[in-house]
Amino acid sequence: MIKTEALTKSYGGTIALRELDLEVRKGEVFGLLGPNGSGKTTMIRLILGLLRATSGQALVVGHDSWRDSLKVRELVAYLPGELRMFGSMTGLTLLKFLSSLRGGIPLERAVEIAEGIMGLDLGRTVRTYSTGMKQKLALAQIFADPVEVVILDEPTSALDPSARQEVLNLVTAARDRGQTVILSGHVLSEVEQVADRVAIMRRGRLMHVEDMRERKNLRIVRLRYPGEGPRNYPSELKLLLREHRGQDVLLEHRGEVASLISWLDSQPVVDLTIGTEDLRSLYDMYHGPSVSEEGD
Amino acid sequence: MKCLVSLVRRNFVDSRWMLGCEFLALFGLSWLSVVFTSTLQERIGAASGGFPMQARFLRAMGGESMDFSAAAIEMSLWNHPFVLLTVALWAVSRGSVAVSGELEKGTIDMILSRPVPRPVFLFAHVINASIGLLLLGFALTIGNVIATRYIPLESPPSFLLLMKPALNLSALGLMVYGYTLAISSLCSARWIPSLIGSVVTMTSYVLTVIANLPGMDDWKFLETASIFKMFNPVEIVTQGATFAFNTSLLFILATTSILFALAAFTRRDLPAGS
Repeated sequence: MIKTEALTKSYGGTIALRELDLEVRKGEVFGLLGPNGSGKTTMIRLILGLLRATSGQALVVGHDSWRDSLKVRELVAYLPGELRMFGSMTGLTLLKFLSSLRGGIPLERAVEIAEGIMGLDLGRTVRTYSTGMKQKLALAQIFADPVEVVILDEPTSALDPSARQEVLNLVTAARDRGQTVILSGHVLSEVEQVADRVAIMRRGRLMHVEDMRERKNLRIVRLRYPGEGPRNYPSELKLLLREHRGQDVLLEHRGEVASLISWLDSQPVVDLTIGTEDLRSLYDMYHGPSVSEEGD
Repeated sequence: MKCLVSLVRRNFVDSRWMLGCEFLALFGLSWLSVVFTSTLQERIGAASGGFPMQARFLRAMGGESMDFSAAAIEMSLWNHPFVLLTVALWAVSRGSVAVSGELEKGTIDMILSRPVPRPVFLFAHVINASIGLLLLGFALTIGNVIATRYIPLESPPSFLLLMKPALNLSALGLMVYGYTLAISSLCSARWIPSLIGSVVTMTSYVLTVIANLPGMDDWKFLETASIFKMFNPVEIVTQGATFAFNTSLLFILATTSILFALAAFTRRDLPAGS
């Protein structure tokens, strides 16, 4: 659905995005994580054709994001991270205005989301809306747009907890309708809740892409041996050594449970812990306090 | 087409107060120019004793270019700095808001993330500014025409005659708009085109003033560098020789600036949170 090939963007001597190779599949929710300045928004704006790539390219359903930007924007709905609206319009007028910019698509769905789900009074001028209400209004239009891709840049940043959940429900509903959703955000639990895959970015580089469905099968196994722990493990078990500290060994396991248990039974361990790992742990591997800033 | 109409309407909603105030100001000033002309004609009549021969004598004393017609007196007020300032204010303001202003406010994201071609976005701004300039010219014309129904003038100028300097003034405004828009299309902060547009316009006006100061004949060449040289409403209504050339030239220069702005805008990056 969306593909970037060695996508690079630099401003003078500053490289905002470095040779990004990424593929977002049709009908998935793709989470985009990283601190401010990691290149998430730059990537999104390159996909929309608002920025021109220094090198490489971004394709949306085969359309080049810069050269065929208009076609791309027909296929994509976008919620900017920094939302600015036209204060003098009423909520309803703004929805009409935005719909007219997409060739006059029907308003019913947007009004239904705005009034029914988001609880907005569309007769009020946008100027009198709080930041969260403005965000809800924009989200109502975006989820009503008849597009193939929805890109949300920090969609819940100004919302209260119940509204956040509504947005996540709308994201899930969009995926169920077959839309592809790119969800950029800082709230890991929200991304974890809805994303099918998650990309972690750091200083303009793509550091890791995690399949969240596979991650649900992830087990973290901590073993303590009486002496020095082994460094090699049977490959058929799909065990990955993450940490080795003398007696203590930390392993990732994504294979079958039965074979793991029978293997553990054969091990001379003095202690054993099996647990899961949330997205925070993965995120901290790239952005945690112990991560060195060197080598970027 | 639907999105162009929506964008033009939105631009007019955004600029309605400024346009309304400027329209009323020029309408009022035009009315005032009729009052002034009427008063002046009365005084000239009184000074010449009401005899045509004395009037001809007065004109002869001022040279051939001295014209006491109502149109000429009124047009001398259309050259007033207040009129030029009002038109320039609209032109600089709308030129600077078109790209850099929308980028600075962040509203451009809302529009250009939807399938709106960049030329259509810019064209909507150009239409808004151009119609605004025509309306400002129209305010002067209609103010004058209505005022002459209540204030008696000797041979008041016709509506069609007044339209010529009004069009010339609109073309001058379009020229100011054009170069401000060109700068705006390159910048991400509104103050830059506002400042440059204002400075260029003011400098141009100052050059005209210096070139026309009494005893500054050696500095007359300065006027050739001023766009205000191409706006001479008194000449337009009395002789009319410069109207077609000056208005066309202003229009061509303005169009060239707008095309430059279009080329720059369609090629530029639109960064977030500018």
